[in-house]
Amino acid sequence: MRLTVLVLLLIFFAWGEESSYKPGEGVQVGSLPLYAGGYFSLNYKQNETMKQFSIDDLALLAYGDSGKFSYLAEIEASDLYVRNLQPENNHTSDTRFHAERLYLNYDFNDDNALRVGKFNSPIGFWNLSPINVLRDTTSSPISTEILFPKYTTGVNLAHHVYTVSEDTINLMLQETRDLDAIFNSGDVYNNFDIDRHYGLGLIHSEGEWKFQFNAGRFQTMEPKSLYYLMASVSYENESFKLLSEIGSQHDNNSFTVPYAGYLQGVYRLTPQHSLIARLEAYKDHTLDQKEAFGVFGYTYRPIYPVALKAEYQSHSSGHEDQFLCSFSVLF
Amino acid sequence: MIRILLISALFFLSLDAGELVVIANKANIFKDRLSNQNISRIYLKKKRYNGSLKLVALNLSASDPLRKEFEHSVLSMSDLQLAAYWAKQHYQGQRPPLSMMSAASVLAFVREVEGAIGYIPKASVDDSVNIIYEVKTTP
Repeated sequence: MRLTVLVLLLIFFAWGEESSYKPGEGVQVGSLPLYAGGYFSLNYKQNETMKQFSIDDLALLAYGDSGKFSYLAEIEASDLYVRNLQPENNHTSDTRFHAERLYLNYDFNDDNALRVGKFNSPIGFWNLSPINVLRDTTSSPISTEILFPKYTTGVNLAHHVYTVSEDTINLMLQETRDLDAIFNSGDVYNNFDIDRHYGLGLIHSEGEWKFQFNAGRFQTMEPKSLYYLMASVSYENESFKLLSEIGSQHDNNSFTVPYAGYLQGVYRLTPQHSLIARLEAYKDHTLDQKEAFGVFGYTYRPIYPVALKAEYQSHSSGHEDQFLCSFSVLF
Repeated sequence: MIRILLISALFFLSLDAGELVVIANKANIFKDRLSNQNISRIYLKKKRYNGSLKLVALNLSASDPLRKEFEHSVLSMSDLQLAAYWAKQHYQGQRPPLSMMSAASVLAFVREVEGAIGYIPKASVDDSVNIIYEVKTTP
């Protein structure tokens, strides 16, 4: 895997200068149907009991298309370097690269497409732009972490209808384990450890409004069957963005997560400066936690693919308040 | 009087040069003119085919004022919204439209490539391509 990373890095930098590179759009490798890019983020976290600095993500992307086929491969090292400053002064590093996404698309026509491999589950809005630099805040809402499988390894069938509005139906099917060998060996870090997922998603977009509804069932390796429901809405104009997602999860007997959701507003002071306020609430029977908290953030983007973010989380249980900041780049 | 006539002629010529049209290859199967919404979907790569024909949307270079006018009038998106959109598409493995250096390059490309679509000043159009949309500029 390290050899693959080295080769991808060499490809990226070898061709980077010759191509008309624009930040956040990657580079074409020669004249091949191959584009290379990636992203990384540096994070700092401080709360009552800890201070921590980390190189949270380093990922490389490769993608391209030919005719009706297209593909994407992504490898990512998570928590590449973690420096604890409090309560103890030590560090850890994990240089293993995970197979984060790997899929092949086939467009039957403009209305129907098939995706095969490992991909971001098309559930809600946040989950499709989950990396730091594309997010509005350094942290992600709890509801995007605990309700549904963030990744699906299997197939997705998408059907689009374009009229005055835009409608999409997604059908996700997984009947196997994750394709990342490190994940399957027990290092479960960004998804439920599952071997089944059947999901349905409906998206309706009209003007500045977008609505989405998702429902599905997945099976963990315990094994345990879990069902989720999720409703999302977004509104966006030039200076303001409103985003809300709420859902629940239950097993065969009762609710495991009766509710988890958030309401977030983003106000763009200028194209570079944004203020963010997010209210979150969730009740998780599995972890026996119930909480409501607010996130107040500021983001500076000198150009869109480069973000400097700071946020303060004010929790109902005061000792969990925390400050987060990050520097993230998409290249 | 000659000066007034010259200034008027220059004024009308410049107005004509500013009017944008979206053009497609003669063999393209768009028989009718398209709506603003469909042009926008093609340029955002939401609509990528017409029947079985793969569409190739062409942009002018990022600094070209005609591109700004097109993005403002047809896509109705700010620079920030477009940058955010294409950053997310890059993460999802999608490329923005190809950029061409000049209107003449766009015209030549569209003339030669069956699925190509581009925008150029109306004054630059000849009968080797089809006009599929006339851009209504917004102030």
